[in-house]
Amino acid sequence: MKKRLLFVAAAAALAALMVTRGRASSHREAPLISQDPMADNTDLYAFRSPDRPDTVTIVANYIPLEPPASGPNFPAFDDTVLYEIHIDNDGDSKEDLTYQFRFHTETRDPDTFLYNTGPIASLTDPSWNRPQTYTVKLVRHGGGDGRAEVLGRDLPTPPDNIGPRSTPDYDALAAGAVTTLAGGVTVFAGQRDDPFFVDLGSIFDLAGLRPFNPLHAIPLPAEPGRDAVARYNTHTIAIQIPIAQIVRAGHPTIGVYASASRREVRILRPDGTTGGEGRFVEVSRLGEPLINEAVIPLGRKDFWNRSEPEDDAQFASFYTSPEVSRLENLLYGSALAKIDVVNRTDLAAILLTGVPGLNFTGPRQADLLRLNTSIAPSAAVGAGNRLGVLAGDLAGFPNGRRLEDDVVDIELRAFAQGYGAFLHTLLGLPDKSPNNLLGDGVDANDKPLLAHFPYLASPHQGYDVP
Amino acid sequence: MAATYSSLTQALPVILIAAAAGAAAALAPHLVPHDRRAAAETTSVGSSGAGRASSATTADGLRRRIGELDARLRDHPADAAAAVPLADALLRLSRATTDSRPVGRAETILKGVLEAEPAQYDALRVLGAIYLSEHRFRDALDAARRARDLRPSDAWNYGVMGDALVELGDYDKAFDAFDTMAAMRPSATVYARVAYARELRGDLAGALDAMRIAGESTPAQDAEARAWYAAQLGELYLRTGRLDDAAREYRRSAFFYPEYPHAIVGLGKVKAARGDRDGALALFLDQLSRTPTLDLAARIGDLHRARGDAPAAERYYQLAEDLAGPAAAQTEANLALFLAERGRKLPVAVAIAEAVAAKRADIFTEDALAWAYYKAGRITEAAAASQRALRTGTRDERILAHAAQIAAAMQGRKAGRQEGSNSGQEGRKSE
Repeated sequence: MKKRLLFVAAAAALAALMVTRGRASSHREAPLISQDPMADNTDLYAFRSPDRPDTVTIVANYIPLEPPASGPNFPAFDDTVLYEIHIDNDGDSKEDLTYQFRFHTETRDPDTFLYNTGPIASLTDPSWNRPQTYTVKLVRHGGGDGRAEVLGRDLPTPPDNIGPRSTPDYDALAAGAVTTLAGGVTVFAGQRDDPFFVDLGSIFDLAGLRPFNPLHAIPLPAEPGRDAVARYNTHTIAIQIPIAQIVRAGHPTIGVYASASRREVRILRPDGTTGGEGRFVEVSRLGEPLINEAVIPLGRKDFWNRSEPEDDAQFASFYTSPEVSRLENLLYGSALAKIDVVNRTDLAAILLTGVPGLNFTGPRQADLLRLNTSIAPSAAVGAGNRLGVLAGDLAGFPNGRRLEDDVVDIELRAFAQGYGAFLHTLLGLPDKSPNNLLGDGVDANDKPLLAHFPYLASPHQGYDVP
Repeated sequence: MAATYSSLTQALPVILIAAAAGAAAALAPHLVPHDRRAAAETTSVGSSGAGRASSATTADGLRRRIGELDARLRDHPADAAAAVPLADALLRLSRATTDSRPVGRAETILKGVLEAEPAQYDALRVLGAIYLSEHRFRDALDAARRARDLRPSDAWNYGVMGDALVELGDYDKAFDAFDTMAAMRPSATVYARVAYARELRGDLAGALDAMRIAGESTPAQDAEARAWYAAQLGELYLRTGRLDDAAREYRRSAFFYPEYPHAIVGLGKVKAARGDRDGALALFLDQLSRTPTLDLAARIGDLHRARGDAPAAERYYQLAEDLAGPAAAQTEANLALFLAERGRKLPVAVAIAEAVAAKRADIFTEDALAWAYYKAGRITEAAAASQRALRTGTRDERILAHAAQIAAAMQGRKAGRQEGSNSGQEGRKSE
């Protein structure tokens, strides 16, 4: 007992130090933006599982840029948020199936605020003080009765990856949190390495691309790209579903988006009883990558986030007159072939209705990640061509999105009308040169992916990271 | 007594020139923390504790950024793309260093942009927040309404509008604005506002619910915000007499953010409520050395007085007055309330309360006015102001206690009049 007390005291002292050091960070945040990372979709992936090709894997990530050494307040899903993955399977851009995820955090020892008071040897270890479980529900819209069917209740999540003392056998903990539900659906929710890779530092410095630095309007020496998401974690909801359960006959292509919703809490409670039971308002959604960042203007983001994909025609002008293309002309105009900045129906088509002959779902414009489930996986996990369809790999983005797909380079080229030879030949899309070589110089994730579900690499350990 | 309203400032961190009230007032008498009750309580979010920690890092970073943006702005004076981030950085520098002067510059810069381009949205949006931090609530309201008209889908503007309206005492409109914000974009910042609105309406259980959700919705990485919400929960528990729960939340707050002023002062209040005067005094004195505020000095004075040490009490009461700054510069009635409650300089107390009440009609200003009138023997005026202080249905103990005494004095006066005597003396009794 005494030993344990000593341990707690030491942990508390350490925790105090860490907080002190971390203080400054909360003041670095942009004070005008209301930070809400726990309800912030970072990335969405949907692909046919290479190791289980009769299934589709959908990965919805939340909480951007989690530093691994983030104690004592380790990141977690928010118990007050409704996390959802929506699937449209008949091309009308309205969700037909919604998988809902709600979390619940338990406090095992109310006498301490610490995350753990000893090594976490298993998911039921009493020294893990803040375990989080979740419930999965399926709502069938339209044809179904609209009621939520509980697919799984009180499912385990792994702890965050803290260090060799707190989480000595992390991979086993994470593996223990992969749950198979009735009907062959497999789920996982918890911290993982963020599989996204991008040179944010350069891109947010006046749209710089390090390999093309000498060609920028403000030239710098060329250098390799730097992955700004390397060594950061995220929180992942992953679900693997038999294809037969989500497609409709004659419609092999599904449209997917993920969202986070918060309760509308009003001042006057309707019945004078406890609050918090207002309707859910969608505060974040994500279909195609980088739309919120690169297409939707700053002042419209709140509105876009709470709009339904089926109403996305109202944002179509931001696709057909894209800001990114204008910037590419402005900043790389001397080096690139002139890019059209109006009437870009190519972008509206690819991003809002799907590529004809590949994953077109119909004329209704909606920001959905479209996956043609009749196209077989082309490679093992992580081994697909990073340029996806641009390089003729039809199992990759924009046909769904695999973890290895380099969506930054693909979209940079698409916005610059450098679609590459394959799509030029197939669809007559422009293949302007050297626009078809653009890229941020970051081509892959910093950690290798796993060969099996949930595929994302284990989170970086706090102890390991400088 | 709870500083719940600072939740709103927490919610819109930029509107807060955080600082110990005293320190800010000393630097710039016109500037004390946005929230009257935060001022009366302790410090505001981003208190000097954080300011010290960040001044070596963040403040330097901000200064560098300000230098770069300044250079850009020299070449293109009306360049909104440089001016708005510059104003934003200046506002944050004020917050990090407790020096209010950068805010004045920020205002000038934004006005320059708006002169060249009256509908420059981002400039207008930040300007409202700057006015709030300067306690220019009507100007803040105007700016926020114009911004709202330009971009009705931006939930932020309803927050600025609601904050200004609350400060002005226009509660129905304020609550509408908060509800609109909640419908558009629920977030911790909205939940905190809802909690405060419910508290104003006397719904403490509802306030606790909303504040709990606000805390849960706050990211782990934002330790300061988490500490802030935990401290607010502590305040609400304290007000409902749940001392153990209050102590737990204050401890949680200090766990998230060591030496967090709200947490330390809260723990002191729990000790005082439990009768541990020495324990409370030790915590308050320690905190006073870091964040000198009117409220802390007044609490310390009270504790000395309760121990029978009148000279020490007087020293701290004098310090409290000094920390509040000159009477003419008050935009809050907390100095008036302090003077009235301790029976000091009653004509000054009345003058301050009247001057503030001419500009705003929130229930805390009305209460201070009522109490100043009462102590000055102006019972009829006290009763009218007291009625206005009760209009939201608040269950604030201080307001209710004042109202009860004033009502009793009115009764006594009526009875006295019938008996031909004067019971106005009642009002002279110190609390």
